[in-house]
Amino acid sequence: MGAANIKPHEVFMEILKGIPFIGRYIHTAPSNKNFLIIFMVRMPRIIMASIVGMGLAVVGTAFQSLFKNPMADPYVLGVSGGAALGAALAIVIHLPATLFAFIGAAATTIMVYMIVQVRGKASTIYLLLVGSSIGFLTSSLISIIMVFNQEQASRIIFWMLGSFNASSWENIYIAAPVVLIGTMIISFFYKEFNLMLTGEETAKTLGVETEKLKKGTIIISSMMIAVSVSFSGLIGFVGFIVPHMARIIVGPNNKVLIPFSALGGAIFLLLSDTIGRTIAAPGELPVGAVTALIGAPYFIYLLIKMKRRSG
Amino acid sequence: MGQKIDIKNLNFSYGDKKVLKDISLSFNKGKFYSIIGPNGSGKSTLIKNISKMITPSLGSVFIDHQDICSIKNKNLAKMMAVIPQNILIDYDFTVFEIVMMGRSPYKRSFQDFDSEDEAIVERYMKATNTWDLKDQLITNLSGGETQRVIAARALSQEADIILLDELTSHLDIQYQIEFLNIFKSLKQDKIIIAILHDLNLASIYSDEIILLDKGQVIAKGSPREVINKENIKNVYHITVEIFENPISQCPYIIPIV
Repeated sequence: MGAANIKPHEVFMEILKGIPFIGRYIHTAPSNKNFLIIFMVRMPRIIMASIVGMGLAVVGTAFQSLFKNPMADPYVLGVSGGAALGAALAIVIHLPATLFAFIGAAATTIMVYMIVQVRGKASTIYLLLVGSSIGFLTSSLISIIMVFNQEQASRIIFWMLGSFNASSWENIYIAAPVVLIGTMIISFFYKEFNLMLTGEETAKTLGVETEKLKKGTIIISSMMIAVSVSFSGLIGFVGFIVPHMARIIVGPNNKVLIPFSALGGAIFLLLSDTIGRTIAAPGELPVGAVTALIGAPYFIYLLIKMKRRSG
Repeated sequence: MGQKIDIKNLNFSYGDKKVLKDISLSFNKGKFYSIIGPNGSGKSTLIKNISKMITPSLGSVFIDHQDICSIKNKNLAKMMAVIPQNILIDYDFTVFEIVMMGRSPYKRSFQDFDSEDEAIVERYMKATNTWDLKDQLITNLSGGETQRVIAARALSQEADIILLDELTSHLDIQYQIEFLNIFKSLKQDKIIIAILHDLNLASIYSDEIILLDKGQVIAKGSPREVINKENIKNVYHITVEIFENPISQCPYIIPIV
């Protein structure tokens, strides 16, 4: 299976070997190479894909409540781009990429939100225009950084494509707690997010401290985006496509929608990554390309459908 | 809770534009109040100030002598329910879920609604004639139905103050009457403040009317005191004839054209 040929039963044995106690009773031919590939390459990759998928999908549902728009997605709104810009800058000046990705994500979220707020209740089209403009801005700034720092360019290009190639246990130890705790906090406020979906003023008159909720959402979402972008690059459309599918199945109530999206996001990104690395093996498709290939046409289809309904 | 509202020297500006100028008013329990006035007179802005959706530039709104700016949104939501002007819900919540949201001020985050909440919601849905709609999607309802559902939600808040922001503007007359009747029947132990466009409806339903123009209170008092030829001429710039409504003995306006 996979680019390095390890048979399924060998994979199973190696995994058992990794488990304490049981491992002692498993005697296979000493094959350190297989053990390394499974535990140091494939396992981290699978776990990282699931964590990032979960994080992006949950951030998507939170953004959709925050912007009161079902099309809101961290990638489409340029927030992932902001995180990537922060990370790229950090690489060049040798500072922690995750921290700068967080600052970039938070700054772009606030910027998009402020621009959209000026016009009151923003239309989908306006929101998308603002988001994609911010996206263009961040990607051109990243290009400028690359031009002036040729030696780091290949590392930065990695951010633009999105890949789980470099997943490691160290990264998982950071990403997993951030995403899991973030998901828990966001699901904790499901009633408040439901109220936001019926309108911000209504939410306020029904007791939600909307300003606090918005600030909290921006901070937690930005942290989740920062870890996913700094460890796996720009992966688009997960935050939009997963909650959207989930809403079709379980409805808009965030009580069910958030956990369902979290699970769906993990499965979706894991599948996308599996497709990406098997479809052209031993070559590899960046996972960001796979999600965009699925997400972008679906996004356009929904835009057309929405336009028809409102027009 | 929610026995009395006092507005003291309230001023509000959008940028340089003064929308409300030095408004002082009191509202008491057991009465139906209407706010009338031409477009742009500041009616909605006044309601938004009373409901803490926006903060006064100067002056304050007090509920039982407590400044609303110092009341947490959750506690305010237990005292005051607001029915907004535009009800636009794009998400496929069921009618029951929407009405249940009226119980959220009584819940902590992550605390679920219980059978007691369900009983309260059922009672008010029956009162507003929306119980049969409970499993339908809010997005599939007509304007009149949506308005009744939002009324059920507001009643489920069990608040003593109810604010109605230009509710009846796009409803057919039978729905307007049906809707206003719901609130009229509840007024004994509540303060109800409604923005109304139809002066004759305001005259029929109100215990007191507040006439606004250019952000100022021009007149306040019983319908008989407020609705007279001079006030209407001053504010709306039209000539009217006023009769006594033979059924409710309140003033009835007919424009002269």
